[in-house]
Amino acid sequence: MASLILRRPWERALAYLILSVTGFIMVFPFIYMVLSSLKPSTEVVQVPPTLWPSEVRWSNYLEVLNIVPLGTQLINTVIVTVLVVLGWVVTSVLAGYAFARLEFPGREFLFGAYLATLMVPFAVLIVPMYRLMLVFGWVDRLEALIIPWLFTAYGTFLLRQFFLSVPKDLEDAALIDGASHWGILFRIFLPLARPAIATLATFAFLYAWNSFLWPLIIISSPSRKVVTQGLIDLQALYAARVDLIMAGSTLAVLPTLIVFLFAQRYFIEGIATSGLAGR
Amino acid sequence: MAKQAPAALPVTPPRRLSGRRVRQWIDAFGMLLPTILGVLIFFLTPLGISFYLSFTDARLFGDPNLIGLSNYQRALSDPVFYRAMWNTAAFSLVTLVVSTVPALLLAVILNERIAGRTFFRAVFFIPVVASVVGVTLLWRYLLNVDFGFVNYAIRLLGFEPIPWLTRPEWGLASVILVFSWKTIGYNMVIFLAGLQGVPSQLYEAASLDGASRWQQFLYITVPMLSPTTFFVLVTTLINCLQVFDVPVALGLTRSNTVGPADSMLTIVPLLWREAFIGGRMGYASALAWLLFVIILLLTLIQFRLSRRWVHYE
Repeated sequence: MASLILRRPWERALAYLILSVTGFIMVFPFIYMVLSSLKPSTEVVQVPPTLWPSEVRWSNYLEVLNIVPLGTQLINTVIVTVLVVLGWVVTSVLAGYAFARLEFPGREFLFGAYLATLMVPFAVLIVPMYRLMLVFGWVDRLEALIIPWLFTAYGTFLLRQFFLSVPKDLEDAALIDGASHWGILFRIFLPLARPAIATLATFAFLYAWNSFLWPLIIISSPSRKVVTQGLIDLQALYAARVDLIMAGSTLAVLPTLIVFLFAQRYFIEGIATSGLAGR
Repeated sequence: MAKQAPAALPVTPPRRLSGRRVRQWIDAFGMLLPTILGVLIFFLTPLGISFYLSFTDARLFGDPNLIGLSNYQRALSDPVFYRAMWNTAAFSLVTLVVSTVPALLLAVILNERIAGRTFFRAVFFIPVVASVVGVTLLWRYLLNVDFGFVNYAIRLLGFEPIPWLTRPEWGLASVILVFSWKTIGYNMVIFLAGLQGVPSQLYEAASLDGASRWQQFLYITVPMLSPTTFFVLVTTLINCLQVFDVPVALGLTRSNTVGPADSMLTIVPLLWREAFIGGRMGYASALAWLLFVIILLLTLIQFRLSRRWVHYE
């Protein structure tokens, strides 16, 4: 982490200029979103555009919750997200531990095959999954957004890598004491795995909260839709009310930003780890 | 969690060992069961169904009939398919550069010992976590030809406003812009992790030998970073080929075109439209398998080429 490239003052100034301009481009849209969501509707489409609202209209938020059931849709999204996060964590911890610490025939093959499933594009699965949901009677039901998505090869890989790094002495001592593997997993490995689980949970959260293509296909009743669908409906119905659409977008984006604020480290570590998998 | 009685200790070693092994198999099976069921029901079954459907005339409802390779032949003679292929190729190629080169530059800067690194890292990462649909709708207005801030800035610089979302020739550029804006922070974090994995002794040794900073970058950073670069390129390409959220949230119109004159139509939105608006599920399945084959081939080619430029330690 030595300063290798930026030695002279003008180089540092240039670096800060690049960082600031890029940072502005990254953040400005969000500032625009929040400020526009508080404007009177005519002011948002003004030419030339203004940034600061002449008067603050919190009522936009009430209005957007009334015209599209965005409140219900937010609750749906929360339910789906919480259950998918839980599912990812439980199935990945169990499978990751089995692949890392237990010996059984076909282990390497099964793990390799599971990782290979990541190669299949999601687009291949959407049509047959829709037909499967017809068979299960889950079309237009929240079950379709939850149950098929409770397992993950990425999470299993992440937890397996973590469990591989735990020294063997720990479980040997427990095994001699007669503990079962389930007991060892829950009493010794699980507490150690908290950072890896947090990383996985942030990933699952992003994945579930932002999912769009699958809900778009499988859910059609407004009261069962998730927030991303609600936004698209809002845009289709009230394209001219930019203030309302920005209020809706703010409601959809804000929770992820708040979670990010508190769990930043895990988001960034999770992605950095997936990158190191390429080494 | 059955506890073994302490009396089990004096049992002869071979029997104990095999009993332990069998118990381990049972435990492993129990732990893998949820995953195995999930993969069987929600991955392998649909995968098989999809392959079968691609050779049928399946509609939204009703029984499919086998029609051989007709769906594939139809795709290869359909101008809309070629349009979507062309759009996907152009989008992927440009995005591969636009979303990685700035990411590398930012990562190199943030790898330096400068104040505010973690702050800037977080700032660049915000678009990554924000809901794709939410931010894409937002860009719909930022890119507006009349009241959008992007054109406001362009006018301030003395240029003509750009009809980003209203003219076909700008449709794809808009998708590239929004997608890259959202992806740069992600790629930057991966590059940053890669840079931090380069041992600093290498640089110290090189500067003792009188290597300039530029030489150090070229002969140490670039080769040491090549596995990371390779990973970023492979994953970005795979994600680009499957892009759906950005073109649809940015360009979907009432008549179900994606962008003006389908200028933002890529493969997955086309597949979605064929299957769930047109009801042609067999045809959509064939499109999905064509996409799968293309992704496999391109990934394979990247792995082949990587032997020439990726250096593993």
